[in-house]
Amino acid sequence: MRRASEELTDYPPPGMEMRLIQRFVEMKGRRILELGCGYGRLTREFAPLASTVVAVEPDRAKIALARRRAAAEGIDNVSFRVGSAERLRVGGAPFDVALFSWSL
Amino acid sequence: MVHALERARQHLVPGGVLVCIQPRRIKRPFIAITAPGQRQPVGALVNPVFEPLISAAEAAIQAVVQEQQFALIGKTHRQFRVRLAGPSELRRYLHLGLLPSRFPAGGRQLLQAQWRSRPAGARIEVTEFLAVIALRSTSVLA
Repeated sequence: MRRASEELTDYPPPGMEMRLIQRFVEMKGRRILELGCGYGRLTREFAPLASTVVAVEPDRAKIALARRRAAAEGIDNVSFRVGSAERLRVGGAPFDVALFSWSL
Repeated sequence: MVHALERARQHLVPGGVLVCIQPRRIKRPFIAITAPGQRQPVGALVNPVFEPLISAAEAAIQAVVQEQQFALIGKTHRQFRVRLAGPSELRRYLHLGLLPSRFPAGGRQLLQAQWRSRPAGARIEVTEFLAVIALRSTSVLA
């Protein structure tokens, strides 16, 4: 049962997706590209493990919220960007892991 | 969707891993009324708009594997349950997504009838199903 302070969400409980992902790939120390990060719900779970993260989302308002929430949690290794997988333009080093989080 | 996977691959190191989290195609969200020691099934929801997109995503993944752009590392499935206070919260829940699931014909009436005769402490339970698919980028150029 949800506590009153929790948001109503149709996503899995915290930690479930990370446990499943890490059955296949270690996220610790990796450079990660997240496509369709939404408001950064899952981003904030794996960012503390990752070396760096680029999180992309087409919805500008969601990116703004993602930035605020990540900053509020002291997460400083994520670059949130407005964009889509189909028109992806990300410079810098290639990524170890690309993640489509409910977005393919 | 194939294009999106191809674009992602272009940004991966050789042998990099691509992970897709998505709803499980063959399992629809399921509604039940639960109370301590009881579980009364109501039925599955449908989503005629979203379901073809899930199928298309799986087809895109199969296509890039067949083209040897990626190799399948593995798949796993899980379910999770959300318990809601009642029909109005269920309505809010179903509209969280852009393409909300809905009851099939007669399903909402069935829920309302069952909810009217609910046991003390009852909740509406939604069971959701997810799939995680992991692929490894190959060195073969498409």
